[in-house]
Amino acid sequence: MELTATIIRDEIVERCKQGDRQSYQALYDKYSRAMYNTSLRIVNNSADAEDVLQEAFLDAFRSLDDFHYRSTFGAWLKRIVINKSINALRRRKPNQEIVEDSVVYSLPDVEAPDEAEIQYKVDEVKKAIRRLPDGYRTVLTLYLLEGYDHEEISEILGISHNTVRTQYIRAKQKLLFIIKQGGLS
Amino acid sequence: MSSPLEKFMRDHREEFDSEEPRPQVWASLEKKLSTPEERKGIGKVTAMKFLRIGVAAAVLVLAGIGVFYLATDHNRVDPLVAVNDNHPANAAADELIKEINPTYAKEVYHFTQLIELKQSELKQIEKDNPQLYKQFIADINKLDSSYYALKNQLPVTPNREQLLEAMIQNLRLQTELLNQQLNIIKLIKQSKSKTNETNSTPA
Repeated sequence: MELTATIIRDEIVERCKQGDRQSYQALYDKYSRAMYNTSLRIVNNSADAEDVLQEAFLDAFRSLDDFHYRSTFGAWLKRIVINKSINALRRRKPNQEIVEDSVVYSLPDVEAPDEAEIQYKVDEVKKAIRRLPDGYRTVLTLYLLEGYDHEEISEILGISHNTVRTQYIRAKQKLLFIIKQGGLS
Repeated sequence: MSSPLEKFMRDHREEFDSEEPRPQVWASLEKKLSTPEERKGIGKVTAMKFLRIGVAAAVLVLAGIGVFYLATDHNRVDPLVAVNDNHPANAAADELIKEINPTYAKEVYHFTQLIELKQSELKQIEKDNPQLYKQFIADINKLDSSYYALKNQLPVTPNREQLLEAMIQNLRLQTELLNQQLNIIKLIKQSKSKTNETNSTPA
């Protein structure tokens, strides 16, 4: 009977729906850090990420009535954050698509680094991600860190599966080059 | 099968969420949550009240017309006579009311005074909010015109007591409607002053 109700109702969310102010803060405390980092990885600067964070929470709080546990609250909020982050990117470059299949960022004219040979460090990977072009960075972090599959990413960005796949491969290559260069210097 | 990079990212996923938003983000979010939400709330209340008043006014007008027909139906007067008597001097009608029932006359007097007072209060918003004032006056006028229609019938109806009761009921409704209108104005003023407060405090 209850097979479809897989997601348990979130107590804090329920209290927020009833207008409990303290629960708003509890929800913010619970999710703000993860959401901020998600946005930061896309917009790539703290001022924009903070704007996105604030707007996303405001939107979420005001449309709690539209949240019906089709996903977890965190997943719902994350989609709001990602959409707003992508919009922030688009506002910065209004005449340019974030992800363009035709755009291939140059790679050094040497053999691609072997993924398996690199010693990864979190800080270095983070730095390298920040140096990726907007489109690469967005596709790569949505896939590697936010856990969306290619199909979901193609829907989020409004591009084809194929573009997601090729963009991801190129983004990863570029990332590996940056990491390797960083390691050498 | 995931690649070494993918595996590394998955294993260290938590460490990638190392940045913290500044506390100002919550502070300003909280402010936005309380002020515009409340304003939105008041807006909703106002809209609801408008709706209610609209419905109430419609019901009242219908009820007024109903009573009017009820009062006149039983004693269809010759239309010519009715026309002749259709414009009795107000003072004469008031005298008539006193004659019919002095208690009712007092009530009529009391209500008309009250209504005049409230209407002059209402007039104060004419400058600030002419659209709203017009709307309010239109609602009141609907009731008021049915009041005068009743009053005009008074000299010719045999059911004077009944008609008087309908008149008083009409006045009572006018007072009630004015009260609600004044309440709405109060709410609007409150929300305006609140907006001003929040605007003047630095973010």
